[in-house]
Amino acid sequence: MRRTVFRQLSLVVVGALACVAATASSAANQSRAATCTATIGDIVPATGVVAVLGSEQLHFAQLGIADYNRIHHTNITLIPGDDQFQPAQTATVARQFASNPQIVATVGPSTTDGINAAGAILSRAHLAAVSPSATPADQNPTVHVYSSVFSVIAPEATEGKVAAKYLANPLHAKKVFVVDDQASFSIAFTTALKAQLTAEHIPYYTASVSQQQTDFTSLASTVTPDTDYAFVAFGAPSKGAQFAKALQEQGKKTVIFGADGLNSPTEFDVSGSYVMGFAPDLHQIPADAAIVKEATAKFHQFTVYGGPSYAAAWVIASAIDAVCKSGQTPNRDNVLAQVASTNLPTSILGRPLSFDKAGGLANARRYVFHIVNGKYILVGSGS
Amino acid sequence: MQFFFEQVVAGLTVGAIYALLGLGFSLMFGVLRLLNLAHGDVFMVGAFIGYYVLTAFGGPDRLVVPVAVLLLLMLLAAGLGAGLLGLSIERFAFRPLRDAPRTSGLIASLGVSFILEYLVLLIFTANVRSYSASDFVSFSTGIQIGGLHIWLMRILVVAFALSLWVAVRLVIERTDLGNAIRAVAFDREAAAMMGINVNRTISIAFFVSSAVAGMTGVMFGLLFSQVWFQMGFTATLKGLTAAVIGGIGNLSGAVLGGFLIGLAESFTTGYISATYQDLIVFAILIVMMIVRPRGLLGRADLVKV
Repeated sequence: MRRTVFRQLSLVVVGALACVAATASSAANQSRAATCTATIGDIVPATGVVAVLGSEQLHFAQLGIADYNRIHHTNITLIPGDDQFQPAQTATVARQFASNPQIVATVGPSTTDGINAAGAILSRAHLAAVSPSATPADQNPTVHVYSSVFSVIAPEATEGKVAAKYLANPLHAKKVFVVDDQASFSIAFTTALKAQLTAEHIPYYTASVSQQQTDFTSLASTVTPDTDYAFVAFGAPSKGAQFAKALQEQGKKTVIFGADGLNSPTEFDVSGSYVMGFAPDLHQIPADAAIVKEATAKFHQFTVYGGPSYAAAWVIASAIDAVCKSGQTPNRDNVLAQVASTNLPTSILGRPLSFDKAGGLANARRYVFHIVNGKYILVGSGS
Repeated sequence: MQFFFEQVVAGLTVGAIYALLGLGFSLMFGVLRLLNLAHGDVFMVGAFIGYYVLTAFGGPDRLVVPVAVLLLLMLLAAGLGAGLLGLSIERFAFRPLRDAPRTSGLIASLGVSFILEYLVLLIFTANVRSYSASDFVSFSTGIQIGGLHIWLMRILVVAFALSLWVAVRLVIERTDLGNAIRAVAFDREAAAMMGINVNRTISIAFFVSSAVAGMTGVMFGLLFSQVWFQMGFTATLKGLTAAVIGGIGNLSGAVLGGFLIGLAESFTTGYISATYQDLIVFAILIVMMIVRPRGLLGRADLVKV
């Protein structure tokens, strides 16, 4: 009888201890969630001529933060700042973020011109900025142009080089028409492309059009019949589609090879064309199946612009989390230091993430897609 | 030589669009002495209306009506929708400011422009819409002159632009309504004293110019395929330039100015460089304002002394 009572008492005590332990663990988690709280910005072209891509970037940054909060029990809030694809507006949003003491880092800016306009503002404010789709125009692997600006993609010059190499082999281009839209990133692409085309002994000729251009008929008429490829470095995919229509109308067989600005299956789907990408297609990375499913359910379809935004948001969230784990409260300086020393073994992009001396993605690659019946098929990559 | 005529065709077709936009600017300026900076956005709304009519009838690759009927419906719907929009703009944005300094009207039109742009953004999102007219009128349909092939849609657009210009001119010059519009343009107070309903006349002028802008939006979509919420900005710049070069207030001048700008753009791109296209067009505008401030066909104002 005594033994039974003793056993029952023991069970009660063990049960009580288990409850206390569970409660303590839960309280600890809640406490960490409460302490690891931070606010970050997202400078993104949510409206304007590239709003389709900008919206995707914003959605994926939000998704990245939501997933990180859920998995790591953090409490990070993302505030969007719409720069409308206008560098002046990028600078304005950067100033707003810089003057908001709650914001400790930002995703974006998304464009090269945006980085050039806001890079100094962000760096002066010690605000870590991780761009999902751009690098400073004059970035090279040894110079960190803006000390707080990082990028999860390869520089534009890499894209120009990779495109020219692909035009040489396997495409064996005989003559290339190169057209830019006078934006910084566009000129950076084409400058590198032309240098590599020269090295590959491929003749080329050039044109430069305004971003406001709406009629490409005359431009298409300047494309000579012996031109087999047109490298189109426009920022808006719809403009590339218009140029393709103009070529088609004139019965020209020139194949479009688009810079990553044309990479949008919904707006540029000219069969037979090639398009560069600064990121792989998430659909083709098996480890991303769950994210692809979640994103498809939420956004129906998406391009290569989403993945890097998710990655950029994840880099910042990881940095904030690391600061919290070290017992500090996240602020601009400690988050910036953590972002600079990012070393993620895996990422949504199917590769490790760390930054080189210039703030660019270490060992970054650019990707080549071939459009077949409206579908983007990855056919090559290079660095 | 074929290259030269390719530039002529390209210049005339894009010029037809500028001409009709310039026509609208001139008509509104004539009756109200107002540069309506929202005119390009009315053009954009017309382009969107045309797109949704196209979609309602099956879309470019699955049309359920004959092409001619579709084009007619697109133009009518865009003309009516844009015309009514123009009426509303005049009634609610410009009429209350009619006796205010001219800059008030100008600023109001700028405000209306942004409101229209962002309303379309909110309602239809920023996605670029594609007419894909080549899916229902193939590029191979058209006329062949030597080595030069002209797509049927280009011929239709130029023909339609010229028809609209003739129609508007006939209305202005040969009808009572036209007399009323000209009277209001000449002297609003005197016209009112002669029994002309000034409000009604101005409203009709706005309806007509906005309807023309809406139909021009459809023609733009048919020719250049893509329509988006910010397309009105460039349209405003080019239409206004056409009107000023031709002589603002003069309908034939606006049409002439439009075609000249179109040709200047295409020849610059074809023979010099696309880089300098806008530079040359706006240089022409500046030279014109210095050398002949009243425009090519504009008449000097009579000043009471």
